[in-house]
Amino acid sequence: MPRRTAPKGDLGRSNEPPVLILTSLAAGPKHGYALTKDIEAFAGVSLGPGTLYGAIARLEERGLIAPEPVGSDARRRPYRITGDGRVALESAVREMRTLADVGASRLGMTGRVSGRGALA
Amino acid sequence: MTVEGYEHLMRWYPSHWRERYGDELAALLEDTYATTSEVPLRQRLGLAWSGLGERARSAGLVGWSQSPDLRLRGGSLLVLCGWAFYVVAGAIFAKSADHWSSGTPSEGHWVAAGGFNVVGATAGAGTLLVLLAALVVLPGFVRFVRSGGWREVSRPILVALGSFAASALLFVILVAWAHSLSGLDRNGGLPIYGWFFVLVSLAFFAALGCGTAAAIAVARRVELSHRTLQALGLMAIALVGVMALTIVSLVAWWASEAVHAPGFLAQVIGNGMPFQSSVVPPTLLASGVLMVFGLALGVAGLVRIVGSLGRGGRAVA
Repeated sequence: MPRRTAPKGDLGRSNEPPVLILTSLAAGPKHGYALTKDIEAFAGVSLGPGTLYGAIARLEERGLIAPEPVGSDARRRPYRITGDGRVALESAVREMRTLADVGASRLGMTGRVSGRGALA
Repeated sequence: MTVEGYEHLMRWYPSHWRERYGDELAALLEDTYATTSEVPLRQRLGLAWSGLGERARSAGLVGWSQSPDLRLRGGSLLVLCGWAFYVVAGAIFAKSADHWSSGTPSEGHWVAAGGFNVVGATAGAGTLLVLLAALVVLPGFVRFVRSGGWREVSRPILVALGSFAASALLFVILVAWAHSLSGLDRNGGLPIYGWFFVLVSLAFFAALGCGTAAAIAVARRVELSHRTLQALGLMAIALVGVMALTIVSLVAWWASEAVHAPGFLAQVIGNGMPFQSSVVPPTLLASGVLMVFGLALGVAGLVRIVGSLGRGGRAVA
């Protein structure tokens, strides 16, 4: 029977909520609304509130993100990426870069592969 | 506590989840939509889906990041749910196959008899396993009640007891009535008796559903040691084996009857409504579908149990 438990660093594919959230938090702590807006801006993905908080709960459970101390507004609690979260994101980014490099090389693309819209 | 107005959108989530994230989720909704009425249907459905998913996770039914003990518990409960479908399917099969022996020629008799007898034996074995599991949980349940937990589970238990009492009363009335009727009246001659039989069956199935819900409510809350959960997991594995054997035996009986006694199958209850088939009568089809569904739940539970047995009680990050 294969072990189904995902390793701590396994975040799934690049467009999956855990990767998007960690990427957003890598730039600094954010609360729920700021996260959705940032993710929309850099990835063009609109995460629903249920999906976002489901992923936040899982990431917090795995110790990849942590809540910041609440300020004046306790309902808009910011989250920050932890050391483990940074390691997991770095690993995911390395995998994506490898895939992107292989894809670019096989397509004969030279120079930098631009991000969003490059294939549009 | 969550902000009033958005609270109803979070009713699908378990209470501990709402305590932790409810305010933040409400704030996100508030920042995104001016009023609750502006929250689109797609997002409402998304919240309902996510909330039910969180409930399933907190019960150990889905996800692999919980502790092995919670997964063992969830896996065992999935198998119990699967067994409840088997009980309903078995009752339908027993009624459908009533007097099959007299309508079957001797050349195909032994396969059908073997299949039928194994179905009966597995029904007994499965019931014994469930009773044994209940006995294993009983000391923990007594401790739970003594420590003041009765209030948490009183409602589903009382509903289950009430529904079983009601279905038993209806069954006694049915049996008393049946004794005063001829064989012809009992077998379709008297429509009102037929409808009352259906009512009693539905009451029994509802009671079974309430009983399973009560068992789940208790099993989720009672404190059980890792060793006890492992024992329950092993019983659940055995129960899945029993379920698999039941379905194989039923198919053997059915196939044998289809070859050797299609005339009997043509007369099985339900044939003619909504369709007529000599070898696929609707009641047997319903029984088979319920068993397949129950087995699917059982296998899902089995996978969780096997993936959690032998691991400690810690959560896997």
